[in-house]
Amino acid sequence: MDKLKKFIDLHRDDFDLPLQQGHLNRFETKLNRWRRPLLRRYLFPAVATLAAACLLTFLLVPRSAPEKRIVFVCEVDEEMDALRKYYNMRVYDVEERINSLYETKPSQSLQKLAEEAGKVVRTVREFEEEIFPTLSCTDNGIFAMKLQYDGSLESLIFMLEQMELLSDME
Amino acid sequence: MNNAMTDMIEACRQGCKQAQLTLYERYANKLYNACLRILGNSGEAEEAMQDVFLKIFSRINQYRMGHNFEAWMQRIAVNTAIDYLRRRDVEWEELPINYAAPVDDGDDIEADYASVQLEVQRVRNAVIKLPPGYRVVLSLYLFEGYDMDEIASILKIQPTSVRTQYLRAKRKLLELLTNNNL
Repeated sequence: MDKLKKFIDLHRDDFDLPLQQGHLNRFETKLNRWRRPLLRRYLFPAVATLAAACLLTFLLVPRSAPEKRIVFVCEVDEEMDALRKYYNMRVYDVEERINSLYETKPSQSLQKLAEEAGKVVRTVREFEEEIFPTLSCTDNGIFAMKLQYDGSLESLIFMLEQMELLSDME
Repeated sequence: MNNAMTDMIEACRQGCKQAQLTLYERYANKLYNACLRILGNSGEAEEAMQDVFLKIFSRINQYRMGHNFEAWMQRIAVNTAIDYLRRRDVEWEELPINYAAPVDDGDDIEADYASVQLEVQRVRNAVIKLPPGYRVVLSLYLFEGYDMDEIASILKIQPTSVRTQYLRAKRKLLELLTNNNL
């Protein structure tokens, strides 16, 4: 018979040491941080982006001639197109990383985040198809498009970071 | 499992904070000691144990009612503590597949232990002083109740390596127990 094992089995509870004072408070602080609803962490940027897109639509779409597509021929035209390509590339890159992270670890929480990210990407696509062609070919137009893309990208990057955090935890 | 426990697990599933704190209060000490025996450091053990509870709450939907809930939590605690240890680059010695452990090694150690007076505090101090690799194998077998195959699966090494490390750990522990500095 293993004498050591027998001794430990006999005195099993005596081996346990008490926790350090204040451990419950420290845990409650950790728990409160952890319990902050996921939605609050990632939905706000998405909602803010959608709101910005709606506001842009309202402010920039010329309501007097809604059917007519504006063909912009001006000096900032090329700059706008280059910016659009640049932002497209970045959005595509983050979207790829989000999808591949979700495919690697398809958990429920990651799925929710990936779905929300999908909504933001769809907003970007809608912006490009419906609003971008109507933007005025001026510095104001560039400002508006940068505002839209920056907001969306920020939301996507935030969601990606949250997914990476969750993925590490799981 | 009694009804109160089932209700508490269900409340944790629904994200009830009070239930989460109650579960923590009930099992914190047990899981803390499991982490402490693996990590050998009280501060790190508390941090690991609290991480364990957050993992438990995150994964509670994966727990199947009717299975041993304490064993499920304990396994998460052991894995988390081992992950903490791996961050310190602790490796478990893997013996060659064709390694043949000396047959009488265990009996020799038993004979040596027969002459040692065991006391809880001295054994506890000696376990803490063991090198991390030995301490983990010894703790998982003696305190957490896993068998050699389960330990091999947890540490991802061969069962023969586990047995050999256990015998070496016991011999090292014996050396420490016969040392008066404990």
